[in-house]
Amino acid sequence: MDHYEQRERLDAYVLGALDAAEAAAVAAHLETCESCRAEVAAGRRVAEGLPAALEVASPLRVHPSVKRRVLAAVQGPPRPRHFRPQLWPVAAAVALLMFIGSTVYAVHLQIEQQDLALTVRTETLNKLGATLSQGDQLRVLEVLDSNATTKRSLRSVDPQLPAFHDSYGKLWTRSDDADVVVMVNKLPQPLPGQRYELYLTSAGSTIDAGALKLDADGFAMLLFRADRSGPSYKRAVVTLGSTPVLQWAG
Amino acid sequence: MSGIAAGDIAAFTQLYDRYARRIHAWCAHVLGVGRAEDAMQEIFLRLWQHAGQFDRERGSFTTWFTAIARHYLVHVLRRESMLRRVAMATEVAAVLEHGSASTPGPEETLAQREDGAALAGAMKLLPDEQRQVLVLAYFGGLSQSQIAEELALPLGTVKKRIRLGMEKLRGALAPQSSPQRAPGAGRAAR
Repeated sequence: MDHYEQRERLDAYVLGALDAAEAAAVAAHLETCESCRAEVAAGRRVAEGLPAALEVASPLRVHPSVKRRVLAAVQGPPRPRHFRPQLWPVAAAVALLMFIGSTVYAVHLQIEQQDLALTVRTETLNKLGATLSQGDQLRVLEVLDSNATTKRSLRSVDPQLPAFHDSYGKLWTRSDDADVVVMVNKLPQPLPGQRYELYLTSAGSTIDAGALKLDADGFAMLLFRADRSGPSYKRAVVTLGSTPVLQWAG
Repeated sequence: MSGIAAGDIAAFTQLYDRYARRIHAWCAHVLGVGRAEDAMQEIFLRLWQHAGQFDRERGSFTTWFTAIARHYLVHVLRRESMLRRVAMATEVAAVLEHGSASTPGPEETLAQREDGAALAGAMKLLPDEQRQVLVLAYFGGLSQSQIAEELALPLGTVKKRIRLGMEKLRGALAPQSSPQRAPGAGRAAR
């Protein structure tokens, strides 16, 4: 995909109207193209001005009681950050499906960003047993613990978005094997009909590596075999719907 | 924003006064008047809870807050049927086409007033089909592919309409895009 093709997509990009793989490709292009970044900045000014345009055009006014209500809400007791009441049924359904599905690769781990590998080594054996077969547990650990393993960190695409501020992910590949392990953590639960997908880019082509099914803590693991031993990826993007939310670029 | 992060309710109230009407219009026209107040409360609550995450070096407050609001509203909209989302966009497009000549409140900064007014004027002048796809994309949260499917149009037609529409809207802002305006340049018109 060349510069001119990406440039054609910039307007849709700033409007949030690209499909996930397209948005990921544009984001990658922007990292190296100053003129397109300038174009995006101009486009964002338009996009961010659209609510102001609607405000100008709208005959509606805010009732004064709304202000009292909002101020009362912000001064009220703090609420759980990631689980609001309306999301509990969704989270419960996700947790139940994960428990039932023996092939689901999501596992329940508490992972700290700084010592992720150590945490995984010490806690994984106990917790993987609930959802992964013994064979898959060993495959995961062999990838995580191998001396031939490369680890990549996925960060929030837009750290300004509160929902994804604390979210992160890890991608492990081995230079001597085709198994690939991906973990994500602290992701907000998807709404019905949405799901997290992992896209991996190598040698100019992007593949959909699979869905990431969260547990109740916003954690998921994906284990799959690449098409060859020692896969080399240039980019990894996790999307929600059509929106990239986590990424790593080499 | 640091004041809000530290729990300064007076600072939060100032921001509420500045943005309430915009967020209310957005919520009311996208979700319906009956759901606007709940949505407003949620959006401002997110501002209050996450104020400490705002980083001025990464962009303006308006950029950050607009992202919060759109993220929330698009996620709510994705629970709705596609039919409902298209109907919403039709209503929003109609407001933008026939909207009142009102201006943003006095709390708005000069640049924000100018951008909003200029874009409102430009949106009125857009051909219906360009206004429709822009609204479906930004306010409705639909991808180009979804728009093409819902409107039964070739994808290339949707892309072209978005591109042409955005080009005209950028043009509407272009005369104001110089970073340093003369002090008080817009106040004489107030």
